[in-house]
Amino acid sequence: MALRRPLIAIVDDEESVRRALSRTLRASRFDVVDFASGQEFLESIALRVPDCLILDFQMPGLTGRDVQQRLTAAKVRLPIIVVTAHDQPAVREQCLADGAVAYLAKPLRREHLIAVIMSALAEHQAH
Amino acid sequence: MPSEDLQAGDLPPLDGASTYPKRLPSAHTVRSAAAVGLAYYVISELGLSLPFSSPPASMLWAPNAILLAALVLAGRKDWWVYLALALPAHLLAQLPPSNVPLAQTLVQYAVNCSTALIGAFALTATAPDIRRFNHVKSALVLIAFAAVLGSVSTSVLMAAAFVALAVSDAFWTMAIARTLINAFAILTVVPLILHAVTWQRREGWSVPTARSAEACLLAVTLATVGIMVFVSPRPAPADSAALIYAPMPLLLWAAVRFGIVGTCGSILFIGALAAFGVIHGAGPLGTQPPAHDLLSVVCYLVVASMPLLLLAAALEERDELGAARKTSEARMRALFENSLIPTAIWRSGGRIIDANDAFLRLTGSKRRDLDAGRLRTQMLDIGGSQPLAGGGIAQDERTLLLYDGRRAPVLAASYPLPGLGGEQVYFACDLSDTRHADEARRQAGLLHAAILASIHDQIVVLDAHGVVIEVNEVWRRFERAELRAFENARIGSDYLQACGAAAAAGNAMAADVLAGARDVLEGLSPRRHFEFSLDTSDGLLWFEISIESLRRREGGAVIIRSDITERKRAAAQAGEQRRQLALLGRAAVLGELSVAFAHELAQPLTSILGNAEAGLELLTRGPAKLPEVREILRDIIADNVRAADIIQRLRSMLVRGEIQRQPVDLNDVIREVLDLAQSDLFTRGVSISLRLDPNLPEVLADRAQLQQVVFNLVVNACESMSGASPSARKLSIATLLADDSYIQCSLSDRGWGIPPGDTERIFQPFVTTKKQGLGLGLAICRSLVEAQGGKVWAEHGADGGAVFRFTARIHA
Repeated sequence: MALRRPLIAIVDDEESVRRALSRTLRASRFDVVDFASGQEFLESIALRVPDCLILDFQMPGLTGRDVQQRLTAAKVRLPIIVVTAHDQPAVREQCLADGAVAYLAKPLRREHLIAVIMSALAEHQAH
Repeated sequence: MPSEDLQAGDLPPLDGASTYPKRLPSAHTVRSAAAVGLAYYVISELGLSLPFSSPPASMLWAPNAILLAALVLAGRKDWWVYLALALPAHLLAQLPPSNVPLAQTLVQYAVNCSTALIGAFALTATAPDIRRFNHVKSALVLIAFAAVLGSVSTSVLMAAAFVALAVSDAFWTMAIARTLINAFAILTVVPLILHAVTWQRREGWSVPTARSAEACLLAVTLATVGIMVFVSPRPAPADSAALIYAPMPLLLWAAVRFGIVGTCGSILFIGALAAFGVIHGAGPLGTQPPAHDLLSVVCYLVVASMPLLLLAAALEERDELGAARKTSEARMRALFENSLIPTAIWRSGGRIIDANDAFLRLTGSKRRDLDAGRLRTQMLDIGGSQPLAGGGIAQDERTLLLYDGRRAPVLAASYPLPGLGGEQVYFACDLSDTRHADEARRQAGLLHAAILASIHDQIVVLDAHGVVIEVNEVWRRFERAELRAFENARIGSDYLQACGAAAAAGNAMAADVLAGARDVLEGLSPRRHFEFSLDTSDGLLWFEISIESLRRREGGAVIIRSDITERKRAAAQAGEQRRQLALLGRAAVLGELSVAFAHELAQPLTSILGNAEAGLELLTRGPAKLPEVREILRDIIADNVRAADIIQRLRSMLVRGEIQRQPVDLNDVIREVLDLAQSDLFTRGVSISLRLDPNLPEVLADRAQLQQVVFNLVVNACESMSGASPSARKLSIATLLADDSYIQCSLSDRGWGIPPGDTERIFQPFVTTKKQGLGLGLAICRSLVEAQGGKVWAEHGADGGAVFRFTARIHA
């Protein structure tokens, strides 16, 4: 039995960013599902919870932090990697304090992103 | 018979020959002369028809008197007409059927004319008013020259001529008879004719009833006495001669009560009765031949008429003088009473015996006090207690003590009245109003001088001809060598001439000032304005010259020269400060924008990097799926273009260079800025409410600078709301048409607002209400807005927070 590829969810309101990240992760043999908003993602987890979430912090409607808080409230545990184009120390600290496994500033280097995902998956499985 | 000149309502000129140009007599003169000739003829016929044709003088010969009266009434220039037309009348009367020899007739005509001419000449030359003989002088001339001299001289000549012509040898009888007959006619008929003409010209005269009754009584009495004396059957000769004096009291009555007319009429009437009596053999005389009796009566009447006429003339003259005096007194009284000059008359003791209303008003005294003799000069402090000494009018300024205790300045004069009463007349012109006006003028003059002296600008006022009529002290003090050539204005000097001379010497500034002053003085322009600089030992000085028309009827101009060196320096410094601020502003904006652009650029860079790495991974792992690689590359290109756009926008906001004004849609600028600041707004949790008027015209502005302004104000608003609750972080942006020239943009936030009294101060550089920041944002905003002709200001928001408004000029 072949091992299941980890499912990585991408939530970003920028379509070009979603497409580029999806291509990168699929090329690295991840299954990828992407959402244009936090709301779409939250609705999807009733069907399936991904193994890792790459969450854009700055979005119209529900922000990344809102999604993070809703997941915590729903006791959904999954590694969350917050990505943002607006890197601010305060935001970083806040996200990490809310349970994010990583806080990455755009643009994202593939190697660094893969390493962070792999690390997050490993840590999550260890728990 | 009216003459031409009397019809004109005036006396004929006495020296008409020299006054009137020689010309033919007027038709009126000819008609008048013809009427005189007719009368001459009729009276001549009447005289000839009476008995006593011998001696050759009628018992009543009036043609000469009629001719004399006519000449007196006519102008001398027309005398020849009257004399000429009298000739045919004389010939008609004397020639057939009278059968008087022609030589005798012509002699008679000549002496008749001479009699009239002598009398007329004497009367017109010596008596000023010959119309009524109501002055002693004119009556005397009538008697002495016309009646006596004229008659005697011509009668003697006529008698001599008749003797020479052998018409008669009774020289003396003829001379005496003609003298008496002519004198009688002249003394009685001439005044009556002249009075009749005068009365005919007089309008609206009437005689009181009592006087008419008296006249009737006189006439009746005179007729009764005359008839009894001269017409009734002759009494015994021994008793009768003295009766010819019986009418004398009545003649005296006539003279005293009815003047010249009454006298002449009465004498003529008595003469007529006497002649009638003599003709009919009646009357008191009769001891001599009738002709001699008649001459006796005429002689008596001539002699009696002389004092009677003089008496009547004297009485009329007295009455006239009395009436004139009354009129004069009434006139003087009216002048006194109604004079605006306060006037009083006092006696030497100081009692004021008369005063006009103006005096009573001035002093506040009452007429009843005056009438009761209670007003005294001492009470008014008029010249002390004594009247002014000396003769003539002495006048000086005094202070009059009024009855209510006040004092009034007056110009007083005191003048001793003629007479022995020691009375003084006192005139006092109230100077209160004059003093007040003088004081007001003095104050106005002081104020005028103070204003001129207080103005730091140099001022010269010119009249309509360019002559200096006013110059202030500052101008006088400012006499730099560079200006002295034409600016050394003094009152009375010709400023235009000085400017012209300086301009001719090559002074361009003088030429400008001269042209401007002429334009203003000639009304071609209401004002002219120049600026010029002078390189002096104190450095470069700047001056401004304004030439304004002087707003008064006589015209003129005001030249104001201001030293604007400081203003110029300040403007230069302000410009430099603006440039510095603009540079600082760009740096500050760059800092603010960098955050926004970092986010904006991060997105396409993320996509580009992700796509590129994915493609590389695909190619690394094996045969690439070309369609997928193609899609990746397309995405990379699209994201690259997007990044380039973002960079271009950044460049447009930060580009350096001169202001480039162009038509700009302010609403578009606001939307662009909000797009740019989107991430910042998101991060700060600020929601935007837009109320942009879609129908606004474009404004004329530098697009980049307008973006900076909006961006700064948006960032400023966001920062001020950083402490507010997320739900309160609302920024409202609105645009509207402010007026015909400007569009207004307002940004209302719910932030911490502006400290009271700081709405203006916050626009100063390095003044900030934030914990962080240089305090340059608003200063830059003001600099940029004002550089483009607009204004920016701050207000306190109605719901807290602040409202920032700026205007931009509409593109015409």
